[in-house]
Amino acid sequence: MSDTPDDYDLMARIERRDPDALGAMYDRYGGLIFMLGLRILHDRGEAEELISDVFLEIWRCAQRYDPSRGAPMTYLVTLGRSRAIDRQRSAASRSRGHISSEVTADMASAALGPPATAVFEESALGVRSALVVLDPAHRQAVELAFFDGLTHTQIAERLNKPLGTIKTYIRQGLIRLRDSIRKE
Amino acid sequence: MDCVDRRDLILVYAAGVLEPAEAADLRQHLAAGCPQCAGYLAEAEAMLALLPMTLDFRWPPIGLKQTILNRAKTQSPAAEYSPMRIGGWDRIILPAAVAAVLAVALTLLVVKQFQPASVRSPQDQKTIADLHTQLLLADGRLAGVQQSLQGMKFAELTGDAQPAAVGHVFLDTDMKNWYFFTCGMKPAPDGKTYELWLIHGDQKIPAGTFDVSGNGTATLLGSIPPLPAGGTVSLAVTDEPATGPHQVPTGNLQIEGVVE
Repeated sequence: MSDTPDDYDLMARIERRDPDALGAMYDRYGGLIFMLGLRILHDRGEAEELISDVFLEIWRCAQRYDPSRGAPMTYLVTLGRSRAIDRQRSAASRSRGHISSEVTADMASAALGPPATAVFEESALGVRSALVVLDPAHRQAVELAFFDGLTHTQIAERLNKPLGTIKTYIRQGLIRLRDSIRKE
Repeated sequence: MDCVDRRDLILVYAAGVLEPAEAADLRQHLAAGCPQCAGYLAEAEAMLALLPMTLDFRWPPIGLKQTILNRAKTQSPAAEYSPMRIGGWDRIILPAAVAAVLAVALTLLVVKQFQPASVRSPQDQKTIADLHTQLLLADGRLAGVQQSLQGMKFAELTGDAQPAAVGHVFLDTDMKNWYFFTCGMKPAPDGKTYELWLIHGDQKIPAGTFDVSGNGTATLLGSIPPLPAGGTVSLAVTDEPATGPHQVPTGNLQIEGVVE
């Protein structure tokens, strides 16, 4: 029997002001939020600030998390994406930095427990498989909507496609992604 | 539309790319507490949360974790804040509902009365008479509840960006609970929603997002942590990206007003 607390336990402990629980949650999902921040903000410094914002927010406002609405990981990613898109839209300049080679050293020395890694890899494999089989045009539209927070109109302009086509791409892409992941 | 048909719509909504009018209808349906659609929303959000796993993996800097934990130790939890938690609204709902009737009836009455008498149909004349009656009744009720309004605070919100719109905010004595009503607002632009902000000094506290109905009205109920004494409190509505929530206003000012 594993003594590793699940994510729901950690969130409950964070609400009770347990800093070790916050640290454990960071170990599990800090990297994921960082990846998300890098993809949306294209800036390492901004992505680091995003992680701080997200984890300090769940520390200060732990009572806002409602377990009946979804898993803690879903809450963290939804919060992270929202904050990242807010930052992206209010940033005065973009792409000030680039991803440096020091990241490789960080990856080698950071600690991440085996249970989190195993769960992560299994979920990652499933969603990657589902994304690969999407029509490339649908995939591109979904990624622009999700990671760049673009509206239908903005995506249509960027891809030089009719608005109706983009709406169809996004809708069908999301539906196929959902149905593929459910089959995994 | 039944809930099974909404499942795909909810997926697009969760991704933040549903058309504003459809998103507003869906938000209303979800706010009514439909358990099936709440389940679809949870399913959609869980699926979307997996998408970052498709990215090339990167670790944050080693020292960042300790920096965050050190900052966490110095931060106390936020005071209870729930933009949509409802409780003890009696003193606010009644006068606010009366004000809402007054606002809508007055708007309709002005529109009808400015039609030339020669083109008013018998139905219009009846409508004008009915609206006059509503106004008298509402005015009477408002007078009746004024006794209970002692200590309550009010704000009227207007703005150049929305010359036809007016918002009313009622706050209770301790300014812990508030009720917001607006009418005459244009729908938010594509991809955007409206957000109400409570402003005190440098603080800009998000107080909830909303979309207007077909007749340009919307309401919000909320609670806020007690504000420090002194200083002016004002409220403002901006248009923000539909992918909320937000920590700071980034959109265009629509209407604003100062709490009296």
